[in-house]
Amino acid sequence: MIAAEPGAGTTAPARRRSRVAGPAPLKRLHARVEWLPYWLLTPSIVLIVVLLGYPLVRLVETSFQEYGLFQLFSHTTKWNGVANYQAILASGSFWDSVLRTLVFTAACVGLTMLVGMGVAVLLIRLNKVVRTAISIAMVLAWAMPPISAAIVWQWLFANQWGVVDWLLTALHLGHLDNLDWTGTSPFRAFCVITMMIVWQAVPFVALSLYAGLTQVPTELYEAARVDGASAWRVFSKVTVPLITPIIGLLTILSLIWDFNVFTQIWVLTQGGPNGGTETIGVWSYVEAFTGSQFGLGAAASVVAMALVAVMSFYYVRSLVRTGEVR
Amino acid sequence: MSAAAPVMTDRVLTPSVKLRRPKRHWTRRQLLSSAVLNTIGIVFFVLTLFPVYWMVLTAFKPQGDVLSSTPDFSPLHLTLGGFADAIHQSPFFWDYVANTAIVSVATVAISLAVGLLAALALARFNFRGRKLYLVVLLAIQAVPQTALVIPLFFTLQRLHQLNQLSGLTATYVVFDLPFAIWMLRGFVQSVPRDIEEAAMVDGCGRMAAFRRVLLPLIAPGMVATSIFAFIQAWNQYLFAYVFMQQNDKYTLTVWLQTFSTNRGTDYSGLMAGSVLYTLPVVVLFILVQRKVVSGLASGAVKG
Repeated sequence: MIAAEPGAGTTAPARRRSRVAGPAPLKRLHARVEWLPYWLLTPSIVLIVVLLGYPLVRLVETSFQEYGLFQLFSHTTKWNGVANYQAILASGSFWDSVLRTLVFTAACVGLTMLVGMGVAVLLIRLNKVVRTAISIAMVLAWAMPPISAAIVWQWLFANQWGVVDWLLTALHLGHLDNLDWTGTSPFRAFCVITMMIVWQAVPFVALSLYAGLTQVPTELYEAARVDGASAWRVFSKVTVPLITPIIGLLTILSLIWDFNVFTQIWVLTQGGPNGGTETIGVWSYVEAFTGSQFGLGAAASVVAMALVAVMSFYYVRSLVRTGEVR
Repeated sequence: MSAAAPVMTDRVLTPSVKLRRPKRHWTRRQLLSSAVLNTIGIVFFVLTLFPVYWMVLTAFKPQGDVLSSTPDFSPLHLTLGGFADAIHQSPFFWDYVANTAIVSVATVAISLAVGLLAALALARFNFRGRKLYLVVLLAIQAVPQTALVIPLFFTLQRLHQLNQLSGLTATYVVFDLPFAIWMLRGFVQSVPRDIEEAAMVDGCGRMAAFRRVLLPLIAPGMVATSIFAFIQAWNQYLFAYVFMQQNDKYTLTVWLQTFSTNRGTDYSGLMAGSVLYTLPVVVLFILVQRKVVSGLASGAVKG
């Protein structure tokens, strides 16, 4: 409801203006400042400011307040300066979550890009049947909603009747019946989460790189071959430089996405065992909604936002460089 | 299936075949390496598909077969019992379907209407602040949901919009709108400005030029954008999980998560629930996924 009103309110004037602009549009285009684009943007700007700008301001405010259940229900404000930030920076579990997030993100992105590149190159050299089969499988994995993916992986790695335990035992890779993948060792839990994230992230990266590879002009390959370059040299000196922009864009997008992963971790482990899979996002959520320490949660989120802002800067810059922001 | 095909046309493969031909004496080695590559490809195919296959297969298995120490991989003994379990797992199942559908459709409607206006401004006009607006749109897409959930919770609580579909819709729009604007802008840009200007020279007003010339041309793009926005809303979890606390107000994602916590040993019911929830998204996604890949690749290879 909040959302619908500004939109409905501002379209009418925009239409009225455009009717006025009707008779001599071409002349008007160059004549004076056009107000039409601003009218057209107004509804979206109103929505973004109300639904995103205001909450972000509120988040920063909250990070400087003591905000618990009492404040939530009494609607009172209790400022406490930088105490929340002091508290989280002094908290071992917060620093652990920061480090964990960075390592987890790096692992996911590194694996995704490596596998994605491998698959893209593979796709070019495979026969058509296998290539089509892989594309279909990848699109299905990619299309899975995160919540379904998490629930299915939970079942794959279930400690009773789980198919992975059965397979590893059958392959004599150890007697793994009833191995608890997500409940006892944070490292094992992270392995499962990472594999799941990579499984879903590879299709987008691989298909995008493949599409990029197919656009490299073939004369360049021929020229390199004529000059006697080996397959690896052709790949590293011709192919990779040409698709560097797309590699950069995919890397930075993956960094942002994997840094912000919440749903999958929450469904698989809820941050456990013993907080061992809490990333910054999960840490902030747990402080705010389980511990009712909204101020602490907000401060952690502000730190997370600052880290995302750095990645976001490179993301925007790479899009500006590829000419997307025109 | 058909969606993936245009990405990988035959035309693509011919050049590399041509390149290999001169080196005749390598043929045997190449045959071997091609066999190795195809084997790797098949292994990768199995690994990628298996979780999806296992979800669907478990959903159709009788309870007893699911809980066996040696899993049965063949689709031979199938039953619909799991689906009945899933639907009857909660008395509110159809409410959850309705809640999810209503919020997703409302989010798409708002994002598309507001987004189209913004996209027109961005693609068809040069004005001060345009680049800044584009940069803000891109930056928004990096904002983590966990950061917004705290302040949005306060605001919705104060406006008595917790447990309300309208409140949830408003929060979904935060993430759907910027993305819809960006995607629609691309589609409007792909229509040459001259076509509209020609119509206007011929006496069409700007509004008529938009309605009769531009709108029909970007209609497929609007459909694609709607589908993506719908999928994004359908997949939302965190906001619904925090804001919808009454058990008749859940969305399907929240229901699935609670089902998963209380599943006991009813894996076939749980997987059937996932299948029911996932199927619409997968079908829609297959229709439009090509647009993401080709859109990203088109501008990104620079000679």
